[in-house]
Amino acid sequence: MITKTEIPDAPLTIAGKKFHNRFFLGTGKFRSKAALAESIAASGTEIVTVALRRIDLEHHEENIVEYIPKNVTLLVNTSGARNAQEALRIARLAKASGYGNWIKIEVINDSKYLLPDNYETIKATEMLTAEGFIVLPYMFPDLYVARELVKAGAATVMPLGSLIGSHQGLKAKEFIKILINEIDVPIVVDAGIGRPSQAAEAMEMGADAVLANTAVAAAGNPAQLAQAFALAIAAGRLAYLSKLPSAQSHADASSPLTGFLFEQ
Amino acid sequence: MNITLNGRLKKINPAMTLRNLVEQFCKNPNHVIVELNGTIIKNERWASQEVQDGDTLELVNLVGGG
Repeated sequence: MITKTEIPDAPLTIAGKKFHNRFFLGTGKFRSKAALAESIAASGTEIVTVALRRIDLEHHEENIVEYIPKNVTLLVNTSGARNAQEALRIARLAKASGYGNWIKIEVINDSKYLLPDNYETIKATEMLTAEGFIVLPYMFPDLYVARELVKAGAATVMPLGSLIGSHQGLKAKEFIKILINEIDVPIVVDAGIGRPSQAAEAMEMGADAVLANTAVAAAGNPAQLAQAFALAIAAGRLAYLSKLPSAQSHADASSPLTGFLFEQ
Repeated sequence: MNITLNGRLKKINPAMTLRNLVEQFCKNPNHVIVELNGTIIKNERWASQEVQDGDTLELVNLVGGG
């Protein structure tokens, strides 16, 4: 099932590549590779993240790449890296896989909260862009750090919505808004997005794309939820482009104030 | 001879090339990325690269991730 989420909008351009679907899908934790393939198809996503790990020598597994259509961009994350040097090593190995050089920098030093280390992420961005990688850094929404990432050559900035896998939604909303207002590269909200409505809200705020993984992989019906995400993100984007009116503290009648049948 | 393979000590036959090793341990060599003593060795060189006693080898691949 392919989702038609075409709206009148310019494509999202990252490093010269055009994306017509603003839903990025993470490929981790799916209960089956088939569920992943169906979710990619149902959502129409054009970019997915993957990780790099030691081969399990005891158990043979089908390679994930076999389940990802050729026209979908692979964004290899540096999960497992605890500092910039480790991120660079992972990136070089990823490039050797032959699947391109788009890297999501993920440098995390703490296993309880999985918060990104913003400073190592800046260093990693500098090192990787120097080697020609297309870098999309995952970060905690801090305006100074976002500016440094852009200066270091990041193709986008990926602020977290909330803790990875937590389904908490846009806890960092107000700080993501600051980045949307002040940073010139695309803003891709990533992590903690648990529902399509949260993804729609991010897009209504002006985010350029949303990445979700756990919500889809853990859903009762992953392919359906993946489709729901794609629809919600398109709806949120269309709403943003329509210039939403602001909330106000008083009422503003929707029906005319004259010609009443009953004297007011 | 002894090597460290994916973090574990392994005894392997002498006079093995990387290609022999990858084919012995990996069902699908096509998606394997090889790092020998910290250096990535491209596919084309596996058949000519011999594995030495004491080598550290990482066989990695792309997997699902967020």
